[in-house]
Amino acid sequence: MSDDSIIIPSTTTNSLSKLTINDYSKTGFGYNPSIGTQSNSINNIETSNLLISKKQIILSTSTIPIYEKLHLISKKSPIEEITLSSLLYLFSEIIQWQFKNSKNINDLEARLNGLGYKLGIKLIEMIKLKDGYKLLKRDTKILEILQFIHGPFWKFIFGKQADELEMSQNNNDEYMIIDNLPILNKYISIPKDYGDLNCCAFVAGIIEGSLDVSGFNCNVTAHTSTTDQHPLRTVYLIKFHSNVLYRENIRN
Amino acid sequence: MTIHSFIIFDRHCNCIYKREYSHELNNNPLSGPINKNNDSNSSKLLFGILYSLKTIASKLIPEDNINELRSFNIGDFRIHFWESLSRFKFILITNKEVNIDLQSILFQLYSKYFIKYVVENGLSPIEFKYYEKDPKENEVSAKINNGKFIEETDKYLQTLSIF
Amino acid sequence: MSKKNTGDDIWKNNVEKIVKLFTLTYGSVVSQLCRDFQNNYYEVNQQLDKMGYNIGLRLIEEFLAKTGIKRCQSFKETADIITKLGFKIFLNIQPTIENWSNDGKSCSLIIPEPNPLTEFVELPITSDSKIGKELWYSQILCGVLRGALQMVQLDCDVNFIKDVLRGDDRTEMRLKLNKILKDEVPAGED
Repeated sequence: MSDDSIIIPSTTTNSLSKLTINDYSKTGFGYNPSIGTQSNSINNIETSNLLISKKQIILSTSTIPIYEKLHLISKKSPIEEITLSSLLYLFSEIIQWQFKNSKNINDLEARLNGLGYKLGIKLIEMIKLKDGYKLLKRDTKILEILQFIHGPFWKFIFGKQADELEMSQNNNDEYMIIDNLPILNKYISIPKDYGDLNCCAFVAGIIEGSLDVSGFNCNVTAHTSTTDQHPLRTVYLIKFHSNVLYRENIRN
Repeated sequence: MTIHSFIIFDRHCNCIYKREYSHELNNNPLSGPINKNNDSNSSKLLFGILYSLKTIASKLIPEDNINELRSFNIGDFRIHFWESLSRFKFILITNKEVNIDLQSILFQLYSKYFIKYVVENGLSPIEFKYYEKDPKENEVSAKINNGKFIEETDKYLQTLSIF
Repeated sequence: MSKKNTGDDIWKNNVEKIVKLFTLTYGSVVSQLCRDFQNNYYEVNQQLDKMGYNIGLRLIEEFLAKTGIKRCQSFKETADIITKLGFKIFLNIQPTIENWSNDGKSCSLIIPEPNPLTEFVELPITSDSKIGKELWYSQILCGVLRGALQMVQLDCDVNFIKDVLRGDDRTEMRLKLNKILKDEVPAGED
């Protein structure tokens, strides 16, 4: 392989071999292989000037890398608890904000779902990381991953396990996770003209995001299913895509 | 011993909740009107008198001391008053036989029911005055129309011996 | 209705282990706003402030109900209550107060680390250096204080002047009392 075939994306015009000390990546700072480890040090004047002029670089070098931070925190977090009301105020403000932007109830639910989705992607990584390597094995079966979501995952985000995990009797691609007292809905009473809005669409998004990123493509929706004992009972309906079921069948 | 009505004013001087209980013979007290007469003259007069009494109460004493208006009699009625620091005014109108201090009951109505069903309910307004469309025009004052709040405060007041 | 209640007392009965959900939820709001406003961080700050203000309106009621507190005699006392009770109850942190101005109308609140809003946060390093200069990540707190204080008739300006996320040595918030609002009177009467 010739040297020229290796291109540093951030300095597209130069090949690796032609890099000099004056070349730096467009993001501002980085390892320059033609110089070696020195390129990361900040003792020569040129780089320190560079660092001073670009504040965000100081940031990246002065703080602990994010994953280490996570690890530290998982061991002994100085703040473990927070009042529920802080979260609920934030959540209700999110609903108001998204409500203003959305055309109708379905749109609002889709937006809440979208917000949750991004969170789900991160959360599953965090939880795996938090419990060290014990949980770091990848779940490959639908039931395994669902049990993980229902158990440790739920406990991590809501401080308790979900109440029930069921498989749909009619469709083999549908599963249900049931929460008798969804804390996010605790103080929200839906006016009649909001239809069947369930603000837990946000949580549905979290589940969907974390399942998707684990390789189980699905759609998740939140439905209110009131019982006398649990007026806020919410059912998360998880509908897997056909390719997931296909894979599952091959494995069995 | 009778509670005639339960009224809340917000800091914009608007009556945001007015629950009247009808204690006439053969009547279910709960059949009284809810939020029907919020903008009536008597509501406005009530606000005015409370405002004046509150002001005079604080002027009777040297500055920086606290002298709070709590209740007063008008003929056969007794008006009990409590105000939050955020200027929500809670009022119970009873007959004059109720001569105990109702401060703790009014505080209970605020700290338990108002907080739970109005403040913590993300879909209920907390700022009751708003403008329809163009700012400064069509000033509207919303009311507490929250079914849960009405139901629960009704229930609570009914359990009291003074109801 | 006594003032004896300390932040710790109230704390004991009202907690949940949901701090991570809280932190991440807030993060997703900020990142969504950055996307909505196409990285116009001034607008993001403004929107966060507005959301905070709305939260403040509600939060103050719960605060008053839980603490049963009486009117403060001075702004210094108010600042004390904000840090020792307010922050403690709602965020489980206790900022310190510094740098009082001579007229006693403005002071700095130093938010301790870790700040529950920013626990897992690092501003991204991109070619676009604006974010580190313009975005106040925790701006929502300013809005909350502004809204809450206005409800108790204190018209204040609240803003950040330093943020650890930007590489500053600490996170510092400036609180300035403009005026004490008078009670409103019905229209047509003065």
